[in-house]
Amino acid sequence: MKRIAGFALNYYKIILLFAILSVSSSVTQDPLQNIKNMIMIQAPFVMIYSFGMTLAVITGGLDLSLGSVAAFSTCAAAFLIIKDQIFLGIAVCLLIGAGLGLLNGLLITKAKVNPFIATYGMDWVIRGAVYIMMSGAMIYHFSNDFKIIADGSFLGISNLVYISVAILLILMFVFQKTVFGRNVYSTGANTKVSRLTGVNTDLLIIIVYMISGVLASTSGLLYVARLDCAEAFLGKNFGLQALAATLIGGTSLQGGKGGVGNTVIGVLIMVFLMNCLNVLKVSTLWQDAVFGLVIVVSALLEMAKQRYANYLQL
Amino acid sequence: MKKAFTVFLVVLFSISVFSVSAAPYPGAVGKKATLILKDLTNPVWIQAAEGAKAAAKDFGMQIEVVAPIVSNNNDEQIQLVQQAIAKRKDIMILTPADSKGIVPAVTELNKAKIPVINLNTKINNESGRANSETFVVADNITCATLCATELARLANGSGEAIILQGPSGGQVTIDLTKGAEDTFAKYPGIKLVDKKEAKFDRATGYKVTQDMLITYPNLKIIFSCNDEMALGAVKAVEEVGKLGKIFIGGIDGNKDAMASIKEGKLNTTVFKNFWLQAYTAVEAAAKFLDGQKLPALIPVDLGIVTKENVEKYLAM
Repeated sequence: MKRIAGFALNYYKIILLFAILSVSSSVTQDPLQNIKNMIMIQAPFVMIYSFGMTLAVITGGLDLSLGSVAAFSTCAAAFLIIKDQIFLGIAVCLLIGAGLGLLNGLLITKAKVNPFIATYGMDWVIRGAVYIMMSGAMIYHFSNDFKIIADGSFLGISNLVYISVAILLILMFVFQKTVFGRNVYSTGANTKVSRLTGVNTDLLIIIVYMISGVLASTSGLLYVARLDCAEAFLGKNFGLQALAATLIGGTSLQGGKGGVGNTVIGVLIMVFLMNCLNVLKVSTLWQDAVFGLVIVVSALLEMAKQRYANYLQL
Repeated sequence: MKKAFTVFLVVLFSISVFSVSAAPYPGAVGKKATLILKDLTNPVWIQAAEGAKAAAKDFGMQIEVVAPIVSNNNDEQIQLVQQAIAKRKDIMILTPADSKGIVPAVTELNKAKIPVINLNTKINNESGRANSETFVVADNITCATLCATELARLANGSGEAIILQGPSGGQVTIDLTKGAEDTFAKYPGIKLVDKKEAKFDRATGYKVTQDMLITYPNLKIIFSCNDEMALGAVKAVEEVGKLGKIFIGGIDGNKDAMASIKEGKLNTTVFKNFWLQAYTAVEAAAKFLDGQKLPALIPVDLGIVTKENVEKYLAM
C-alpha cells in the first residue's frame, strides 16, 4: 500500500499525462493528428515562454511581463522583418527582450522592488508602450523566408520542436551542469547565504531575467512567424499560463527547486488537458474552473509529497 | 479711440455670430462631450475615437474620448462616467461594455441631467431607470445575421457549424452568438455543433480551431465573433488543406481580414465602420444639444465584405 502510494505520488504527473491522452485519443477519429497538433505546434510555443517563468521562479521571483515583452519586441522587430531585414529583425527582437529583462532585473535587485510588483508593473508599462507604438495597426504578410522558421519542418518534425528542444537542452545544461546554474539554485534557495559565500547574487538574478526576456521574445517571434501577423495584443495570457505550467510542473514558488524539465511536463499536462476538454465537447465555461483546479491540486500533491516523503520512503 | 474700440467689438461680435451660424448645429458649439468606449487598443475602437474627434471638430464641440484600461471593464466605465459627471460635461456618449452592469451609472447621469447618447451596444433599460436619448448602432445582431447568411449561402445551406466566441458574458459575444444561432436555425441542413471561447485572440483562435477540426471532421462553417479569431481559424484550416471546403466568416472588417479575403482565404467579414458609428453618435449629440428631436434608433450602414466587393472596402 505504502509502495503504491509512493509510486503514485512520485509519478502521478506521467500517469496523468497518459490518462488524459488516452481519453482524448479514444474519442477522436484522428488521434495521431491530434497528438501531432499538440506536441508539434501547441506545446512548443507555451514551453518556450514557460521556461522563462520557471527560471525566474527558481530565483525566488517570477516574471509576469512575459506577454508584453513578447508583444513589444516582436512588433518592433516586425518593422524590420517586413522590409526583409530578417536577421537584423530577429537580432533586434532578442536584444529588446534581453533589454526589458535587464530592466526587470535591475528593478528587482538594485531598486529592491518585489518581483511580483516589478514585473506586473512593467507588464502594464510595456503593454502600454506597444499600444502606442502600433496605435491600432498590425504588421502582416511577411516573406516566406521568415515564416519558414515556424512553419517549416525537417524530417517530418516541425521546426518548432527542434527550436524548443534545443532551448530545453541548452537551459538544462546551463542550469544543472555549470557553476552559474548551481549558483542560481542556491541563490533561489537562500539569497543571503549565497551572497555570504561570495556569489554575486544580483548579477545572477539580472542575467536570469534577461534570459527570461529573450525566451519571451523568442516565443513571440515564433507566434508572429506562424500566424503571419505582429500585433500589440500578442500574449495577453502568457504570464499566467507560464506560471500555471511552472507550478503544475512542480517548481516551487519558494525558489531553489524544480527546473525546466519539470516545466515540460507541466506544459504538456496543460496542453493535453485543454485539448481533452475541447475534444470531449465540454463547454468553455467549465474550462477555466478545471484549469484552476489542476493548479490547486498539483500544489497540494507537491505538498503531500514533501510532507510524507520519509514515511513513503520516496 | 472709444469709437475704434466699439467698432472692434462689433467686428468681433459679428465674426463670432458668423462663425456660429456657419456651424450646422449652432446650439452645440463649444459644448463639452465625453465619449466612453470599451477599449482604446483594438484598431476598431481607435477608428471610433478618430471618427468622434472628426465630428467634434466639424460641429465645434469639445470631446474627451476615454476607455477603461482593462478593456471591457464595467467598473472602470462606471468610474469614467462619475468623472464626467464631476467635470459637468454637457452630454455623454456611452458604449457600455456590459448592457446591464452600466445601468447604475446611467441612472446617475439621468439624475445629473446629463443627456446620454447610446452608441454601439444597447444600455439595458428594462428597469426604466437608465434613459438615453437615442441608440446609434451598427447592430451586432444584424452583423451576425449578415455574416451567417453569407456563410450558409457558401455552404449551400448544409453542414456542421461552430461559433468562436469572445470572453464569456460580454455583450458583443452574446448578441453575435444570438444572431448567428437564429440565422443557422433557419437552415434545416445546418447543425450548430459547438460554441467555443477563443478570447477574441488570434493565437487562441488558431489553437481552438485545431482542436475543433479534430473533434468535428465534417466541419463546414466557422463563424467567428471577430476577425482576429477568424484569421487564427484560417491558419488552422489552411494547414490541414481544407481552405475552400470550410467556410470562415469574421466580424469587424479589419484591414488584414480584408487582405485575407482578397487572397481567397477568409470568406467573409462584416465591415462595422466604427469611424462612421462614432461620427454619427457625435452628430446625434450635436443635434440634441441644438434642440432637435432624435429618433429612438439611428442605424449605421453595415457592409458584408466578400471576395467580389473587397476592393471597394480596401480602398476606404
